[in-house]
Amino acid sequence: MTGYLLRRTALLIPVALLVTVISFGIMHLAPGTPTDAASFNPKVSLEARQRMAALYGLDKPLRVQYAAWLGRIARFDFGRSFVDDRPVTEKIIERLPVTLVINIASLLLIFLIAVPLGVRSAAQPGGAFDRWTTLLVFLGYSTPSFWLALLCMAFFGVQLRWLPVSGLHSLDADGFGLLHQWLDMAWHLLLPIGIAAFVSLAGLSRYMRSSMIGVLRQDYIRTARAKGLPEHRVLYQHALRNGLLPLITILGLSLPDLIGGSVIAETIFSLPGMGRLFYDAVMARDYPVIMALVTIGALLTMLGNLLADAAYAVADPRIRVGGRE
Amino acid sequence: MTSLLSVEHLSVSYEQQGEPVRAVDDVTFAIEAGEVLALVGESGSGKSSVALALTRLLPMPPAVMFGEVRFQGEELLQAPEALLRAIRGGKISYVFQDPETSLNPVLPVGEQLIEAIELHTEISGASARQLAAEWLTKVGIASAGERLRAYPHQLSGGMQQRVMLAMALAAEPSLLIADEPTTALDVTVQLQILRLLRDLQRSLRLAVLLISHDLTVVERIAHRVGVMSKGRLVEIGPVAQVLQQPAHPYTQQLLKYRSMMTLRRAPPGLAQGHGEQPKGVEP
Amino acid sequence: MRGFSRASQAGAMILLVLAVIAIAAPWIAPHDPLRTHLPDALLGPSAAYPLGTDQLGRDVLSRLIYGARISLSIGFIAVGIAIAVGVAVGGLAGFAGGWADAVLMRLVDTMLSIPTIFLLLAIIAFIGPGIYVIMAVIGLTSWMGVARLVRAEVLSLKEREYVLAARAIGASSWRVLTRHVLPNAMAPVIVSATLGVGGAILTESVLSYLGLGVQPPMPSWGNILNEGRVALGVAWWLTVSPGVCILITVLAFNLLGEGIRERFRG
Repeated sequence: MTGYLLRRTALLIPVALLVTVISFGIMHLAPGTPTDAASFNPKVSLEARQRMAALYGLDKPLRVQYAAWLGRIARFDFGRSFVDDRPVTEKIIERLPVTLVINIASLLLIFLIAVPLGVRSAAQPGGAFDRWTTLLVFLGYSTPSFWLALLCMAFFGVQLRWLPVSGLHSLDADGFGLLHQWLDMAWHLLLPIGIAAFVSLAGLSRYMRSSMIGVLRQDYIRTARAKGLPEHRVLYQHALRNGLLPLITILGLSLPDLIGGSVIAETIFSLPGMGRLFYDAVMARDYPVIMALVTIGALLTMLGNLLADAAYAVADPRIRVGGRE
Repeated sequence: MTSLLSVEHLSVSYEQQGEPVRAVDDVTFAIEAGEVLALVGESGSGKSSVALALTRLLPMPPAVMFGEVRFQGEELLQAPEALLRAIRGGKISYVFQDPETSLNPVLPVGEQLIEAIELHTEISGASARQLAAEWLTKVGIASAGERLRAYPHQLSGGMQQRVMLAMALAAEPSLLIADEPTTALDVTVQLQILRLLRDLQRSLRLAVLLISHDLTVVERIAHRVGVMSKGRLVEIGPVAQVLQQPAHPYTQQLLKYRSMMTLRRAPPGLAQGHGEQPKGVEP
Repeated sequence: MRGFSRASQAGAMILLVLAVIAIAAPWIAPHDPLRTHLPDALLGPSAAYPLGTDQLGRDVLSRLIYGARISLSIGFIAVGIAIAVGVAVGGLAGFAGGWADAVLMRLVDTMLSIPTIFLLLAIIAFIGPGIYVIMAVIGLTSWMGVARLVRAEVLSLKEREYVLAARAIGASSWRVLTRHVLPNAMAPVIVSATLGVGGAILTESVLSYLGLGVQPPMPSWGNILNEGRVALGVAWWLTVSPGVCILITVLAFNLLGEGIRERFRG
């Protein structure tokens, strides 16, 4: 198992490097130099521009600039924001928790719903349950999440007044006790997490379904039935454990979309997370923040994938335990 | 005296491109307690379908079954599912061809063995574990206690098939259905497993329905043999009789083919053409 | 057509209707989509304005019809770019093997690690929005799936007999690739392309909604939604109708794509 994990990690190094190359490359897409573009931004002071010129060493060849930049981000120095001159790293760390909470909660929710949906569909492919869930899945795939968010906001938030539509806390949250504050936050996160989950749910339950259908065709399922096991035990004690394995990998692969989805969710619901920071940075052409977030977004994804690989290695005895004796 | 298993006019048909196809066509035979009946034939002759049909293990749409199957007096084809589940693994159990794919890769073999025990006997917990270890020893696996924790992929093909046998016999069934039990194994291992099967059959007085395409296997352990071709049972009788005096033209063809096969395995000295009859040609 | 489920046939029909609408826009749209008429601002659906008007008095239906044109063109061109790049990269990687394969696949992994929206927004932040920009950018961020597909197909076909036969009679690698290997790899690519147009339309609508895609006054379903956001309470038709258009269009592409996949399975 350690061999497997080491190999996966080794593969990530060139990818991480390429990510930095691409991030760096994007920065130089703007016509002229980065400071030219910054100079059109009235919020950027002369000192900031001068500092940036020095920081990026804009008179030196690209290779040198890239090496310098790489060295800095290896120390987590992403420069200072154009908007408020605060260190970018600080701003990101501030916003990270909210995004992480939303993403992890969505992942859990998706998992909890997609797995039973997929299993049940696979148990009777073509049956009524399967057909209805397939319909729902297609609708989920095809719905623009931001539109759904708008509609839910309008309906649940404004019409029915059941759920709040913006921010992380109610206006009078300062006066709440700790538990009340936590619950208040959870209540505010309900809609964003629900919507983030709904769209990704579709894909995952479909994968679960085909994974289970594949598993149910295997010989060991025939053995389980030949042993006289009732069908629900065949399904849940034999088939499910095998069917879940590829799902771990798929969950890992859906991370980039989840993180990207935070941009929309946080923007629409005015939540102070990384996605919202990114959107604001884009609108304000705050380049240091943009570059930092592209790089960090990718690194987070790779970390998540590594975790997923580790989870897979632990879950599959063929990898966890050695081979033949 | 009623036979242990009596099959009358069993037919299994599927729909293939609109046309019904008979995988099993009007098959009738019986197996007595303690006897080994082999079913031989080429691939596609329907022998595996018969094996699965007996306890309704074939997926029922699309398969449709007709006829009668009586086990210890009870009719199986029309019986409620609950009865069938009690019989499967408990009174009639199976060993399949490829042990590697027939064992669940994510569960230790001990767990799969214990599952069979707990399902069909009153034994559970630590006693079940102990019984499982005893069975592993009985099928010739050393360090049984440790092996219980092993995963299928850690065992060799031969060991995996021994585990399958243990799983099939742990609940002490009356009839074992073995579908090509040695075909997927290495040649040297095949003989070992066959010997194991024969010894267990004798000591447990087990009835066995042995499916095979290999007549050598049949010779070694079966009492009677039935020949299947295109879903029909064309000949059935004691092994010596069928193999030496085949009545049906298909059986005769089959045997001729087999003796040609044996010729190919003749000792190397023959290639120089000494003009003698090659050894190993069977009538 | 034989072999296609009713759902996918429905998808195909919807797309046909949509294509007709998009092409015939100048003739079917009841009003000029760019014509503002402030006295008629924020009117509900009526005979004159079947889907109401927006804050500048523009007819929503006409804007939606022209929006169809925009969305479909962006979708098709973006996917065209994605397929071109994907087939090139995947075909090369699969056929050449060795270090070219390794390098190209690391590139694919890298592009897949960066969340697409981040990449899109970052690029647009640096070079500015616009309809051609987003076509290119969506295309250049969605070729990876196709690349992997094509590579897998090429790898499996490389060893097939007819390829070996072609090489045995001395056909050059290029010829073998284009004449024998690629045509057989096309089926999953077509599925991917069909589903991809739906995806591209969704992405474009997100970008336009965020103000970074198609710029007003050019109508796009996404930017109509953006403009309608502030008036959500009073003018629901500005939010519901563009969203429904997106939903139906993307759904149709998805149904058709899945239908093609089922039809050519195995």
